[in-house]
Amino acid sequence: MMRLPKRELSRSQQREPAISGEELSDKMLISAIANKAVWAMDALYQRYHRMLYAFVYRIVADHQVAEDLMQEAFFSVWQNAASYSPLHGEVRSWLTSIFHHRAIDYLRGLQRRSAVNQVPLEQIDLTENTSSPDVWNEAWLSVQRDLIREALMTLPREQRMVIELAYFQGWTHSEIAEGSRLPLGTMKARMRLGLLHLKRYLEKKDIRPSEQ
Amino acid sequence: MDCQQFEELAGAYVLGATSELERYAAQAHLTTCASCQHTVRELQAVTDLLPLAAPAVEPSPGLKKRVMAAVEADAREHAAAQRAAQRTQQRRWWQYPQTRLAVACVLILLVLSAGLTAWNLNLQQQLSRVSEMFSYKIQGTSPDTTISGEAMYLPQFHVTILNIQGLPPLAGAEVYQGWVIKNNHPDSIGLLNVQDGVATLDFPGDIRAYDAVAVSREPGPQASQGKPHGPIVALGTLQNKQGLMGTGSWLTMRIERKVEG
Repeated sequence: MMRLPKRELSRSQQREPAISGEELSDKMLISAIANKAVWAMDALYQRYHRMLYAFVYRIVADHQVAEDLMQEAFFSVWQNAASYSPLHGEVRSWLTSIFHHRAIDYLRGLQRRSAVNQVPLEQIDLTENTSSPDVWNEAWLSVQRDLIREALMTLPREQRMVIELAYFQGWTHSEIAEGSRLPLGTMKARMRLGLLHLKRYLEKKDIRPSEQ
Repeated sequence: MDCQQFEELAGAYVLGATSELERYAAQAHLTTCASCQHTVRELQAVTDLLPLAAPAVEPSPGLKKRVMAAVEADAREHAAAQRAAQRTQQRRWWQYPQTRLAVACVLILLVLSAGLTAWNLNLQQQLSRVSEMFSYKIQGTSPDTTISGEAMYLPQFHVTILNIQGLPPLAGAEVYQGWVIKNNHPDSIGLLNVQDGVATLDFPGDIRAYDAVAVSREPGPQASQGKPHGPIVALGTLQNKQGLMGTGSWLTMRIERKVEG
């Protein structure tokens, strides 16, 4: 797309604040984006694009699709920043929610879930759903990331799998129950117990999930 | 849905793994149950950490260009729409006093003709009031100025009209703003409408009560509040008072800055 001269943007859209975008809080950036400040969008992209891209790619496992979804989702953030309210939680949670929905909607659109009936649950594991065989061996971006993965790996396998299938693959509890030929109540319990197990493990490691 | 049913569903709810119907039922229950709201907050906080578990993967360098190109294009559209709305607003604002000015002129002519033809004393008195018009010269403030104009007060209609020629073209969102000054204190009288090199402004009021009338060039697009933020480009003294241009007044400072510039 051809770039028009920057002077066509209004002054508030061009003008950066006295302090750099890196120093501004997430909430300040979202507030500036709601006022159509391009510099704030640039700063937000710089701050979160790696984490969000890794997240979206983790779900769709296709670079081209992941980039298309990122572009759509970031534009959605640009257009809907005014709808963000601190009452709904941290900006990072708001962002991941937007990107998660985009990615899961894409998967559901592909009707990949129909394959669940042909795949025995025992064969589905976290490592088999990632983009490359060695992803779990890659360096993690942060200690927090290490610990969250560690926490996931401490879960009983059946709890880890239902969280993987539900959150990263977009399956509903009834679809997982049907695919695994287990009672629906069992699936619900595994999801809840798995999350509670994660919570306790992370709290022991001094990572306290911030409640909204 | 009761608390026990929600408790069973809570994990699936925060993971987004419920059916639409279940989600609506859960949301309905949450609106009335503080205990289950607490459960959701706890589990949601854990779920919010799951994205961080994704292995690090870098997008292509072109992604940022595409994202920002779309954002900048939308920002330009937004800015253009704002400017268009502003222009529309200004036109409407301009049209209203212009109509009033035309009506005033027609009324003056009617009254004058009536006075001349009817030869009525009452009409003669009215004629004398109509013809009573106070006009003050306005000039540019820089030495090589081409700006000139006048401020006219029409007592019968209690309206003052500014008419100025030769103002330089404005850039971007800049505006020309009119001010009346009394005891070195400026009061805004609104934005001038510039059309074909002629700037006009009318406002209800008697300028004779003031010391001077001034026009400043403001950053816009809205009128500046309190006092001019840009240079005074034109000025007309309404009364031959001394001390208006005293050293240190904001007006003097503004004019000096303009002349130096």
